[in-house]
Amino acid sequence: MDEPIIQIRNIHKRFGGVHALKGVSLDVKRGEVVVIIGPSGSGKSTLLRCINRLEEFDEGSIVVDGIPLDTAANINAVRTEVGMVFQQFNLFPHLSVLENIVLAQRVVRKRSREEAAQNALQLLKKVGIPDKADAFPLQLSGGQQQRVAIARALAMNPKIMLFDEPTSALDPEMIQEVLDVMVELAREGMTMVVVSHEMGFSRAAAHRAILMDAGQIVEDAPPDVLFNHPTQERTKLFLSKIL
Amino acid sequence: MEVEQLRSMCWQVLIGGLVAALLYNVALFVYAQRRLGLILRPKGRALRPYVLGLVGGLVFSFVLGGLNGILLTNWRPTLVEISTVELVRGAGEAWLLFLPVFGLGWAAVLMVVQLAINVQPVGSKDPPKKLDPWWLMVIAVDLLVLGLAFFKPDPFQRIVSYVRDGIWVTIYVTLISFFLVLIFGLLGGLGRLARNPIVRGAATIYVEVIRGIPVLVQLMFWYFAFPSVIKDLGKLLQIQALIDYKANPVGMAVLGLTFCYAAYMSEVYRAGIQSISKGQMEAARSLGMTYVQAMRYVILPQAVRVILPPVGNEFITLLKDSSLVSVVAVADMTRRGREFMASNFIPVQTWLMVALLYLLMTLFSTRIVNGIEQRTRLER
Repeated sequence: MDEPIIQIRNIHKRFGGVHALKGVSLDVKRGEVVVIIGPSGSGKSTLLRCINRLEEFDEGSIVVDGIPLDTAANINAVRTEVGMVFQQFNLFPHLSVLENIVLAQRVVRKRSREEAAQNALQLLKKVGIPDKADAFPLQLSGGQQQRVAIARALAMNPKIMLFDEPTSALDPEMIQEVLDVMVELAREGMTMVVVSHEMGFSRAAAHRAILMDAGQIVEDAPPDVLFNHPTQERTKLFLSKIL
Repeated sequence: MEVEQLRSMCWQVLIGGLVAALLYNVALFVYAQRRLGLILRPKGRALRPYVLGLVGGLVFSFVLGGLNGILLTNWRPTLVEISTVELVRGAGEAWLLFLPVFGLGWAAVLMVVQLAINVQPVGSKDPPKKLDPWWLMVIAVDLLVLGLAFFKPDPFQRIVSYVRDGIWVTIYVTLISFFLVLIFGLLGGLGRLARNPIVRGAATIYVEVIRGIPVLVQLMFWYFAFPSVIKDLGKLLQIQALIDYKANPVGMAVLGLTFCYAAYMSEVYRAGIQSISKGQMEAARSLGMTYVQAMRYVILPQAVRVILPPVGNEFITLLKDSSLVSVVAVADMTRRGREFMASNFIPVQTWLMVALLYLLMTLFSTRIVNGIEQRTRLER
């Protein structure tokens, strides 16, 4: 039970000539909320996308909930257990909000339409937009779209949720409604890995904060330590720029 | 006795026409609503427009299709004939031959009108658009054909009567080829996007080679060269069935058109699939869907909207290029026109009428494609 739910060992990733990840290792325990920060191009999104193998890696290994990311079947099994929320929401524009949440439940989890729809409505209530079930994604605001995206991922009953800069594409006044949902999720004990510079979320919900730079983990500490008393020079420099 | 037979034939025609029109109406509605994600506007009373649409469409298409048929066949009811079986025979024949061509066309016109009234595009808050005025052009050409046939039955009605089985062949060859093109084009398009270099290479070579050879030459190859290759192969392998192989003109024409147009269509599919943002595939895969599931439920439904206009163009080009099959012994509209001209020596009238018939079909197809496209557009 104490075995880390995500075990990343010495991951390397190259894009052509660019060495994006240089031997990153990271363990995430069950129920832990980890926030990753770092300058753009530091490899934080790439690392996150390696966890559900949206990005292939060149060396190293990742084991998620006891399943190694190797064969196609295993990768799909991991993806079913790992929900992901994207910066650009990536809702399916041709389907209604309800259908967006129902689709994968039916196709992947093989649930009946009624069960899936009921589940979807419950999740929409949870993210605070139960009245938008019949709307289409493009009729919603950015914040609402992102909350639908979270509901869509949660509908698969994932054990882990990955957030790739979930608030970066949002207007400022909509950031809080998305963060509220995420904080709530963290309180419920969901394992989360979040790439985000939102200090508010880190302080309210994170157990650990990680600074990445140039494809490596520079510092890994509880959020108040990392943000208030960083030990590394690189961290101080980065924080001085974003704060 | 003969009256009885004719009467039963007439009923069959009538019922057949009704069933055809019914299926057509239902298919259009179901397709529009389910697959393309259209919303019926009057939400609470969604059934009424359906019923009205079906009944209206049937009556409308039946009457107008029949009128077209009567005007375009040689049948002229005189006062004497009206009281005889000739009436039944003539009307039956007229309906049988022209209901599917003109009647269903009229039904489709009506369907588009109804879609325009009852349906609005996904995500749109604007009121739905009214009837596309270009329909008037289709109707004008139809009336021109009918007018010529009615007021100058000699030679125009004779021409239409003569080429009417050719109309069938043209429609038949075009529709079957197009259906196959849609399937094989999709395979080709997916092949062009495949990760496997062998599959991708094969698909690319196929597309590049086929696009570089004129359709006419390809049709010649399939009808004249291909059977002879099969025969030689049979002689080589001592297989009697291959030695006796005889090419079926329509089969070879469909094969040739499909082989050629699937190459064009695979490029259309490829462009359409590539136009959907990468995030859509990632989102679908991150939910645990397989590649095939993601394609089927997420990518292709969106790509279809993007490629509708070019697919419509391909259809219209295919319809016109189907006239090329007349050189490989298929008795399509063009070939029938040539035969008529050869025995009657009136080239101007013959080709005017053939051209008008093609024009009617292409204009009509354009309108249908346009109508579907407008009503399935997603607001980005």
